[in-house]
Amino acid sequence: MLVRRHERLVFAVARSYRLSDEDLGDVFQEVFTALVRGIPRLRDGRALVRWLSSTTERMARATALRRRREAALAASGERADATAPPSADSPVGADLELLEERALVRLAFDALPARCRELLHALFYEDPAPSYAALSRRLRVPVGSLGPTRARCFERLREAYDRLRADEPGITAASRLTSTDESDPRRTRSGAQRFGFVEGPA
Amino acid sequence: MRTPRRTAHLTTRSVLDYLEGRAGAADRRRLEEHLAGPCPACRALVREIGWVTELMQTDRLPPVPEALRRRAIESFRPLPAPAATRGSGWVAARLLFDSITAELPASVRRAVGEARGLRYALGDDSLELEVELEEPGVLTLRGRLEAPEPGQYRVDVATGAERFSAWPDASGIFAIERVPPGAASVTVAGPAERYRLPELTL
Repeated sequence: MLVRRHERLVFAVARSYRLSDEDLGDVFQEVFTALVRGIPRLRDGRALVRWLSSTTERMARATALRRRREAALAASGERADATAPPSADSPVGADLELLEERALVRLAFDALPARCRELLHALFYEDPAPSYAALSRRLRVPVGSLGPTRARCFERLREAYDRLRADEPGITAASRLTSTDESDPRRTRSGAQRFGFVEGPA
Repeated sequence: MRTPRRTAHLTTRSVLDYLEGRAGAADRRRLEEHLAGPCPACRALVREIGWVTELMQTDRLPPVPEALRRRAIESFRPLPAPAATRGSGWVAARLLFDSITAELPASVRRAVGEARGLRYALGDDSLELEVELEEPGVLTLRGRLEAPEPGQYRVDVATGAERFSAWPDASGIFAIERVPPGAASVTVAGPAERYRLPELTL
């Protein structure tokens, strides 16, 4: 259960370091072992998602750096300085904040009723999304009911997502969107920016 | 689609139609006119819906390999049994009440509803469980642990090949979702004692 709920986030962060399958497996196991043994007080929300992403990044990064040093040592035939700090060529890693937000949406999505999950998955997680006609046949519902049902399910998703995000006191969804979009250069363009509705001087 | 009047506030449905390009020209024009007016709430709605849809539409991670999932699940294997010294082994919890077998007055039965209620004695403490069928083949376990510091306990449920863990909050409340029915092994591990519930069929 816990693995299934959080494996995508751990996988997304760890694979960004381009580890071998074996190293990826080691990182996976280390992260979940640490989760089981070390943090019994974290709840299934933002705090846990943050802990998972940063722990995975730390472990994956350490593994990637160790492999680089080993490769450099093997290539040069010289004794490498194992304590050297990461160079400018250190592993790139992932946009943790973006992956955490996606993970929170997934957690909110997982808590929806099966019918909503089926509909929203098809419309927003499938690539390409099916047409309404195809979706109507797949779900065996009239095309006309898809729009209203989609809106109701999406509202439930947003409510659940907001509750999960509210783990962090003092930061509302709206203020967080505005501040991070404008100040964090790592952040990809949000839907709001894409459609030109960001308020303020920008 | 349902058409927002010129002065009407936007709805989740009208915004989704707009962002997905499903809105007709007239609806689109009305929506844009409304957004151009003094309505920060509707602009925030568009921002937030656009943000969530983009998080979902850019979540294109390949499936987590089964081998990685297995490595993670290995982390949840129970630790080796401790030496059988007093206070460190498993203590059998005692069933005090089960609504399935209990003779209940009709009024109490109506109050309990469809959910199954169980109560156990854990030494001087107690555990209440409520088992509710969410949909065919999917159960939710809700519980309340009455103990001095419930946040220091962990509740583990094993059904078939699946294992679930939950950490009660400060008031002892916890929930485990999407549990399959069947024979279940439930344990409650605290800082001093670890309790094993009698075999339970969910």
